[in-house]
Amino acid sequence: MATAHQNPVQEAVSGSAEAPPVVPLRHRGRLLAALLVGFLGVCLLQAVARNPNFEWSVVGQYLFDSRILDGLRTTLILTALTMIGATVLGLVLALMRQSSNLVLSSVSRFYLGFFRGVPLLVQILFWFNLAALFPTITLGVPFGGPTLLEANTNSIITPWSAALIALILDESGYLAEIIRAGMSSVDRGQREAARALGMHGGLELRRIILPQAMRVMVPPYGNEMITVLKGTSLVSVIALEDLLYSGQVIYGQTFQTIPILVAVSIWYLVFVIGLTVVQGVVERKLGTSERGGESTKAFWRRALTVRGGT
Amino acid sequence: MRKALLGVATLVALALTVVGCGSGSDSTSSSAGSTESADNGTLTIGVNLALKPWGFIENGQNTGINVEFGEVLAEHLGMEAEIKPVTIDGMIPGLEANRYDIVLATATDNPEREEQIDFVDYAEGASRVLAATGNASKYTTLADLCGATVGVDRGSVNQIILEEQKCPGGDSVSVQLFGDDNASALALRSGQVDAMASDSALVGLLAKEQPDEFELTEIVYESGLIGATLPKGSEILDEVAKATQATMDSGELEKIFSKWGSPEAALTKAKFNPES
Repeated sequence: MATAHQNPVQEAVSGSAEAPPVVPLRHRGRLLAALLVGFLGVCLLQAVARNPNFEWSVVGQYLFDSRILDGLRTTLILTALTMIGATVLGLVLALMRQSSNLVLSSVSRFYLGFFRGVPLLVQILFWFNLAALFPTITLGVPFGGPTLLEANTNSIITPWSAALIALILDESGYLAEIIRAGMSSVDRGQREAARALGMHGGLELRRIILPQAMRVMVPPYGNEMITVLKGTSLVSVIALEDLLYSGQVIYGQTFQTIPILVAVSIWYLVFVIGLTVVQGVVERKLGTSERGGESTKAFWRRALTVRGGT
Repeated sequence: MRKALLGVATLVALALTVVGCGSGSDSTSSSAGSTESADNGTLTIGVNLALKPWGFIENGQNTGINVEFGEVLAEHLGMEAEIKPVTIDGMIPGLEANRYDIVLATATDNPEREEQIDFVDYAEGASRVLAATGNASKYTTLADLCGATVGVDRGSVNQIILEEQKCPGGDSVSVQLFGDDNASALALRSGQVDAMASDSALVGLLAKEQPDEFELTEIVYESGLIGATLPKGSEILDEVAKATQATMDSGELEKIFSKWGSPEAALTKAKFNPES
């Protein structure tokens, strides 16, 4: 065994002629537990796969239905745009929060309190129906000054823009906190060193703080991305044709609620698992996993090895 | 050696699996029928309570056409009615899981749906188009909705009728589907949609209660038969059909519909599938 030569006892005994054979430590309890869990897993899988109530043929029929696939595309685009917009806005908010200027930090604090405090569903409904409160949007000098720009609210607010505004504003509050946590995890000495080298503001942020903060930010960031992917399903309330909504429209007519929900969930599951794998790769690249800077290849080799005696 | 042990263990586990589990999933057909409480003389009725005047909550009390019909129905069945709220998304799984003996959600009967659940029809649906105050005169026929955006309840018969509306010059009615009529009404109020199409009693009430916001158009059309829904294989289907017929013969059903302003909607013969 690979570990044998590290064993001091074995080193000591190896001198004598009749050295007892070296047997790797047995993990009988672990093996038993793995068998039990595996057994239960197979049972569960079989109970689901062989259950006619799931109507798997209907699931298969709708899995690649063009309406479902269109919805899937909408969901993925929404998720991507939300994460990009919210990351930019979140970074600004995190920097504002850390500013020593009282106005900037208080505005950031208030923003976080407000947008994390109001349910996302309400925010989506609110933005979509903004025209009920403000029929026109006017940009101009306040207190009776000249109007620079005026537009009908409903010409700006479509289901798409309402959904994006609501999702980005809401998500940026969460990302701001993740970015702030990442930045404060970087040792103060790093900042001081950067300053000593003559780095300032943006350069210090880009070259010194963010690369190190990233290591702490990746796991919660991946978490948020998964939450957003599934959270976009809330836009069905404003009739934006996302993945869940597309399924709801079909079963609204055919009443095949359960199999269609299963088909929709399979797509969510596929992409969540995909994101999880990507997150794992990024984490290992950044060397943040608790197993140190293990390479992706080494990770899979270890994960797929049956014996794993060490 | 270790690998061999693991291999044997895996085989044993697989063998156990084939023998041991799988008993729970096969007994599917036996559960179809009724809720547990039905055996104790309680009829569990799911009612959509976001559908005024069909079902809604007033002063903490469930009320509306479907609630009153459900209570009369239970009476004829010699059972106690228990009203439970239900949503569009929850009604079919709820029936399949025997959470409700029967659901009254103003669902329109059609052959495609009859493959999933059973219907006992008791009313004739009528729809009407509602517009923002001051705009109603723009729309007098369904063809006038070409090029307009119309909000409807997703899954409702209005969705199909408007989506299939023929328009000149490749135009169409832009149909926006919402989860319930409240969302459609809010979108109409904010101008996100030009009109909404729904049950005529429902939009009639909206126009009456909020005349500054909503105005009825002259577009009225038939929208098919409305039925009580039961899970496939329900033991009480025949009894429910008989009891529904009894509420018609006694005039109770018409009385309920009269009270809520649409006596013409009550059917006089309970039609149900599978027709025996």
